[in-house]
Amino acid sequence: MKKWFSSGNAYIWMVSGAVSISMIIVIGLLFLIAINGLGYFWPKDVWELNYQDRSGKTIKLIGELHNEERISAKRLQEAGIETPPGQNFVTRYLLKVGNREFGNDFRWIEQFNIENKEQGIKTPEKLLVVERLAWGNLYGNFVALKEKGKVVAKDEPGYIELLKKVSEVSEKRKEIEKISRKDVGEINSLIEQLRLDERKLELDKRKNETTMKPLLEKKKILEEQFKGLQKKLDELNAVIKIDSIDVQLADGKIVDVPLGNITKVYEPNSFTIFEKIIFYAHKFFGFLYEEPREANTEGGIFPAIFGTVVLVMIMSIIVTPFGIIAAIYLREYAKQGPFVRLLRIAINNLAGVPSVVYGVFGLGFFVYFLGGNIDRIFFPESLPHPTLGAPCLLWSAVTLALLTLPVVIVSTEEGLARVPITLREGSLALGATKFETLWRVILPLVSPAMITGLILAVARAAGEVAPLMLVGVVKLAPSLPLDGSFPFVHFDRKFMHMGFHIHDIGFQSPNVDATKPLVYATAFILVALIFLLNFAAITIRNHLREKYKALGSL
Amino acid sequence: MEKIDFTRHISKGFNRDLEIIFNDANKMFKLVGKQYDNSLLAFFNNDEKLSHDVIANEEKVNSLECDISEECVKIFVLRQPVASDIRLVLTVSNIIKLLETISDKCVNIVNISHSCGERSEGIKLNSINKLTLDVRSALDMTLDAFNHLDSLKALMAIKICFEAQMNHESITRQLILDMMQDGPSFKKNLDMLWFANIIADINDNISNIGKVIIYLVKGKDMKHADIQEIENEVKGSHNH
Amino acid sequence: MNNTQEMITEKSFDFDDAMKALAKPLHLLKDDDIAIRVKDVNLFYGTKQALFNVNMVIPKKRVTAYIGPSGCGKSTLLRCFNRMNDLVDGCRVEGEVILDGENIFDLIVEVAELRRKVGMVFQKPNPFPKSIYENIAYGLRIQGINNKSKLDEIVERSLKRAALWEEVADRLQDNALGLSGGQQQRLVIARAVAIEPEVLLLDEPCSALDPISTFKVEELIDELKVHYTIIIVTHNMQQAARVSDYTAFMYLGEMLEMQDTKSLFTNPKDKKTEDYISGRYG
Repeated sequence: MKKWFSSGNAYIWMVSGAVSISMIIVIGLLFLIAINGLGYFWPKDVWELNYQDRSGKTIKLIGELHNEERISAKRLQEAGIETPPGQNFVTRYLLKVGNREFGNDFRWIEQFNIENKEQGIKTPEKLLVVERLAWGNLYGNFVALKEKGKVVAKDEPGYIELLKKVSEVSEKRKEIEKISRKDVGEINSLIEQLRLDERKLELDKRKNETTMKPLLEKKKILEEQFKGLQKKLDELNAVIKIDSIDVQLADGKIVDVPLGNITKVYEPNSFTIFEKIIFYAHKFFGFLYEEPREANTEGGIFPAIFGTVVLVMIMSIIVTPFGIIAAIYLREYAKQGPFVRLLRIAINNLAGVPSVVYGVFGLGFFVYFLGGNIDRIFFPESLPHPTLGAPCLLWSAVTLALLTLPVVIVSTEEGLARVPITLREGSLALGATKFETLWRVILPLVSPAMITGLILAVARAAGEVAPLMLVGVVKLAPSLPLDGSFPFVHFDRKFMHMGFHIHDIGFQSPNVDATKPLVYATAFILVALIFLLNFAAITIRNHLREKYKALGSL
Repeated sequence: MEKIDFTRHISKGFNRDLEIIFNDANKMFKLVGKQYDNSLLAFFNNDEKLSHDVIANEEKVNSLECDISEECVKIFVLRQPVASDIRLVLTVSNIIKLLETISDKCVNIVNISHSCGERSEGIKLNSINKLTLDVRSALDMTLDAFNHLDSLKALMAIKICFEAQMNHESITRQLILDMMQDGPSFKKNLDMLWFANIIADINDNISNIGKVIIYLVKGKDMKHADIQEIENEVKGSHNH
Repeated sequence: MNNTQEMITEKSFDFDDAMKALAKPLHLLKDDDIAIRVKDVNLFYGTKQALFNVNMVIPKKRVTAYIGPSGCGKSTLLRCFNRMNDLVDGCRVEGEVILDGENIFDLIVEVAELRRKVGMVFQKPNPFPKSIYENIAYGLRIQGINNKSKLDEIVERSLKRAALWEEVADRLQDNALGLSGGQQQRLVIARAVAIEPEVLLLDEPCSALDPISTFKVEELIDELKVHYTIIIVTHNMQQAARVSDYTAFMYLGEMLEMQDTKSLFTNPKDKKTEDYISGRYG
């Protein structure tokens, strides 16, 4: 036994065991997220069953199975539900019955209370799922397609017609979206600009008839355009309102659902595998490029993805030059004395500061002090409405840059230290200045290390939530921080962020059960995004490493 | 003046190699000196036995020369000597050639001793005697100079040789005069002349040994310098 | 001062004439024959003194070798000539080193300019991680020469001068780090001569090479001395003897003796020199 220990094998087992366990945990976690997250998009069967509720009445329920669990009979008894004798554990289902405007859209149903227990669960093909813009999903049976309130088609042909109409309406809705967002938005911002100009004149005390004349003229033109757009919108909206469908709910009630509110209609129980896969793909990509609805419990997470990516990019643009230049100064130009050592200690300590503290610092210094002063000096017309004096994209990027700066500095410094001194000497001996040597010989060799620093910074920034809450991320942003209107990158806008999104839907949402799969799905996308960013950077780094491989490890 | 120091090379093998050729050179010096003495004795006393000894020892001298020569080549190739080391090896190389020539001449003396009759007496014999003795002392002096790396001693040896050369010239003149006058002792005088010439050759070689030793000590090639130049060189710079 | 942009044509010389012109004894050198004068140079690393009152001359268009035991200051002295010692913190130099009538330690001297006149090759070959072509073009690009045809010409000429052209002419764009040690060292030499320096400093250039490469580099040095003044530091005495016209023996930071090579190796004046070159304990 002792021999085994002294031969070192025991420690090898220990170490490899620890590594394996860590890897298993990590992979297991990723797996868990993936399954739960990706499973969210698979079209589930819609159940129809008869259930005996608490009052003893038997009601018909239609819905999707959301969750299944075994709980102790005791718990149910404590909740006031009678359990069949002889069973200590019972199965119960979480059924998503939708139809939020008529009651709770999630219900727990105990298996023993279902008529005929498991056999009583039927999946008729014709059960309809209607996805809506407002009020979530509707479950029921398709009855008829109506135009202006009059029935025009029923049953099978009606359903086919319905599908056609749904896509038509989607198109119109997209157009409405575009007009109201983009076109009207443009006009609004131009009008706002005029207002700011007017305010500027006021401040400069130059407001009078002559100076106001061109402004008023422009305003008139814009208002005309606005009216035109408004008219178009009204037209489109009217067209949308024409069609609607009748759906029969589980309790027999027939409700009218305007097509304008419908995003999708389908009969999941009749799907073939092929159709299910196509549905899945649609749902998945829709998740990625749609906007969120219903307080972030429905729809996609596109703005969050977009915001995260934009944030990370701007942060990279800020942190990279500062980090690299600081590292170069520390190692190449500064006199290596006690001051420089103190500086290095300070930088390393920065990496240990909790990120929330950065958030507070960012809020106090960047947002209020810097932003406020910038507003006073450059944007006095908009006051008291802040431009840069409030949490926004710019300060978020700057705060995160500060957070990740030590990482970039340290890894660049490491890279610089590894360049053999013989190369430096060789370059200097040829008559190059220190700067030329740095630029032409050293920095290309340090580029893998610089990118390593960037990878670490990006990974950290994409995942941070606490500081961002204070300096610029919001639950729901009205517009994207990057769009087609000048100046294209809007540093003064608030934005959405995936980490924050997960936090928000996971903990702040009113409807916990609805959002659980969303949390997983968003977490999965976040991990995938970071993985993609890292993968890109690692590829670049490996390519650079290959180039300089012969010089030894870099 | 120091002795040649063989203990100071970091490489012990090198030290050994140099010591070997140095000692062998000494050996050869002594051997050739003995050859010289024996050949003279054999010549003046008509000693058969000694004649045989001289001829027999010639083998020894030749083989010793070969051995030392090979040793020198070995040192050149394996040790790449520089400075005083290379001068030592070159010097030894030269000295053994010169000594071997001297030994050859001794054999010549022994060979002509057969055909010589009585030896001349009188002043001529005395002056020839002096010649041989001077040459002998010059040889001793070069050995001394070699062992002590003493350029002054080498200079003295060269001077002795120079004197001896003068002596030889006068002996030659005297003998030629005698040969022109005295009929019956013509052969005797001729024999003496041969003898004297051989001694003069030996003298030349010893003078060269002296010059070579000065090269070893001073680093300057004196082969074709006259005695005044040599004196200047030896007395002018007194570093070694 | 050499203007590289003007000087592209091959200097014409007669090899035999050059061979016949053996090194003159030091005391016979005239002012024109001297490339560098070292006057009363004392060098300190902090408080520790490394060079003591060094006075010497470097003959022009000849090979001068520095030999001596480890730590005697030969590399230190060599690195004074192109002021590479400036890179060492706390290094202080007193005295003068006169090149082209100017003391290189004067404040007005631009170090980068000096280093173009005085090139250096190091012990371990240090080509840049770039292509062979770019390695040689490096020094030229720094001076602003970017014209492709000019660069092509100079690269070819430098590689020919470094006896490397035949071996790499068809793969100039390959990474320089793929060459063998001996080739890399010759590449580095080509890189140094591409900018047409006046003086070439070689710091133990062959100590990392195998014997055949060493001989090739030594042969190269022999050819190069027609164009450049060369100073070589070497631990290998046979190399110093083979390759140099003049040899200087340094000991504990002092220059004890300097003579033309033949004289120093057959008849050194100083006992310490003799002991060192004969391999004796001091």
